[in-house]
Formats: sequence, C-alpha cells, structure tokens
Amino acid sequence: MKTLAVPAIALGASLLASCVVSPPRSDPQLVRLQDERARLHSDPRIAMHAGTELRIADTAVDLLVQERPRLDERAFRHGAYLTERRLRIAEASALARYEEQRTNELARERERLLAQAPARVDPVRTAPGSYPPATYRAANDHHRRLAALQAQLSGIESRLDERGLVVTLSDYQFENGRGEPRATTQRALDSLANAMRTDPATRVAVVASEPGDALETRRAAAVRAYLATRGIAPERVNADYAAPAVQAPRGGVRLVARIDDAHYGLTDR
Amino acid sequence: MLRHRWLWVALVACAGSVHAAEREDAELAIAQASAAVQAAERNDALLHAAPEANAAREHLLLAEHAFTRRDWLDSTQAAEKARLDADLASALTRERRATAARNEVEAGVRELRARSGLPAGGAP
Repeated sequence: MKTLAVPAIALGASLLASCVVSPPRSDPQLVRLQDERARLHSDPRIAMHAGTELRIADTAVDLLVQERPRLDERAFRHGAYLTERRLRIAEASALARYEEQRTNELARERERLLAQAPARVDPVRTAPGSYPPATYRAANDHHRRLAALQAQLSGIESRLDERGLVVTLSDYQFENGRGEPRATTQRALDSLANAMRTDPATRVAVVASEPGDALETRRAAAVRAYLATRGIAPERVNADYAAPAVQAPRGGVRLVARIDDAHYGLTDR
Repeated sequence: MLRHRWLWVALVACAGSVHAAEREDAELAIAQASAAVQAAERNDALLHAAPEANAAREHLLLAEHAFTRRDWLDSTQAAEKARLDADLASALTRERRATAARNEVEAGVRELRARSGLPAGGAP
C-alpha cells in the first residue's frame, strides 16, 4: 500500500499542476474570427475606408470572446455566425468605398485627358452617324448618360459595353410558353420606361434570339407593346441597329439602348 | 451603456438559461429581417450576390415557420441571420457594381493615354 501511495500522490499532483498552469485552449472558431479581423485591419484599402461596419464587427468579436465561457454551444454558434457576417459586411462596404473613390479619381483624369487631348487624338473613328459615336467626347457623353440610365434600372440584368446598354430578359421572365412578361418583369420594364423618360434621346432595339421563331417574336413584340403602354413612343422601341451585333438568350429577349441625339435633333447637347 | 445594444441583447438572449426570447422580440426581428431582404432584392442582390440573397430568404422563411410554431428563440435567431445575410448581399452588390464601374473607367483612361502617347499609368 505504501509503495503505491507515493506514485499515486505524485501523479495526482502533476495532473493538478497541469490543470493550473496550462493555458485554456482557444476555440478554433474564435481564433479564425480574430485572424479575420486582424486581416481586415492590416489591409490598407479596408482600414482607410472602413466605417462604422468595422467598429461593429470589432465589438462583435470582442463580445463573443468575452462571453464564450457563458454561452452554450448553440448560442455560441449563432453568435459566431452573426460575427462572421459582420466581418464580411465590413470588408465589402470598405472595398465598395475604395472602388468608388478610385472611379471618381479615374473619371477626373479622363476629363482632364479629354480636355488636354489635341484634335488629332479625338479623331473620327467610324463613319459619321454610325455607332459608337465618332469622337471620344461624344462617346464619353453617351456612356455617362447610359450609365445614368442603367443606375435607374431595377430587377433586370444589364451590361454597358460598346454596343450600348444591353438589357437581357431570359426565358423564365416570361409566362411559360407564352409571350407575356411576368409581373416581376413588368415592374422591371417599368423602371426602364421611367429611365427612358428622363432622357428623350434614348432609343431601344428589341431583339429575339431566333427571329421568325413564333414564341420569341411574340415576346419581343410584347415587350415593345408593354413599353408603349408605359408612354414610350413606338419609334423609340423599334430601332433596328442592334440586330447584327446582339444575340438574345434562348427563349429570351435582349434590348439594346443607345443615345441618338441626331435622330431627335439634340446635337447641341 | 453598451453602444451596440442589439448585439448585447442577441448574445444575452442566446444564453438560454438566463433569458428567453419573447414573442415581441421575434416579431421585431422578423420585421427587420423582412425589410433588409426586400431592400437587398430591390438593389438586385439576386443578380450580384445570389448565395447570400438566397440564404437571407431561406432564413427568413425559417424564422416565419418557427414563429407559427411559437418557438420564439428559433424565430429570433433565424431572423437575425436573415437580416445580416441580406445586409451582406447588399454590401457585396455595392462592391461588385463599384468594381465593374471602376474597371470600365480605367479601361477608357488607358485607351485615352495610349492614344495621347502617354504611359499607361502616372501623371499626364
């Protein structure tokens, strides 16, 4: 008995000592969140453009670390989910501000370059009356106006490129097997009509994926008719310039919007 | 007084053994989540941040189902997740639109500099 007592006491003492001196193990999720917070603070794009979102995320991480011992597993997982979302919101918001600031700086440089450019730099690139416009200044103006139009669109996929403002309506945005746009698509077309009313020189070509195909032709016609019911004159939605350059998705319809000042006698704009 | 009362309330409410989420908390959380989800969808988050926007909609549905079961804690937690999913979808949509706009303007500046005989970057 005596020969067993000493090793047993020694083992118990060493176990007790290890409980006292070894540091508590860090929760891997907490470590990951803290590392993520440190990464955001070390990124100059985020640190310089972070607003209240990053301060809220910092507080969330600190609170979660502080409250961890008191929280049960479910509550901790919930808190970790919310904290991770807060960190991602902070990152996305800061990067958005950074990109917007860069865009403003580049836009000012573009204006400066256009103002300084000698006449030979802003040459006639294409035949007069064709698209894109013949000079950089006109192209810049059209781009700005189409971008303003795009900013007013809601619930609709659009892309601004060398063809103009290209709006895509897919097959699922129309009633199954029929020509009528769905209610959500009509609301999206309302936003397009409202935007076109703000710039009278905007014209739209409506392109079906398979010209001659009965369903897609009906859908293109339905889109033109709907825009007409929203006060857009038929000649503004019957432009045919886009037909050779644009392919609509299968079963869908594509609209190409352009600025056509000359057509509407707005050349002094 | 903590500045971020909402987080403190959320964490303390989640303690379970100390406080239970009440019906009013769940109603408020669902209302806030619903507003955030609608705002995200109006901002075209379904086009630019589909996974986050869909997660928001799913959590909102879970919150509403839990509410009909009178499970206030489940409902509140799901609604809180929905609200932050929607806020994240909106933030990502803003970031991606801003990046696309910057790329476009940058391409225009590069072309203008090239045609002016200037180097691709730096002062004119």
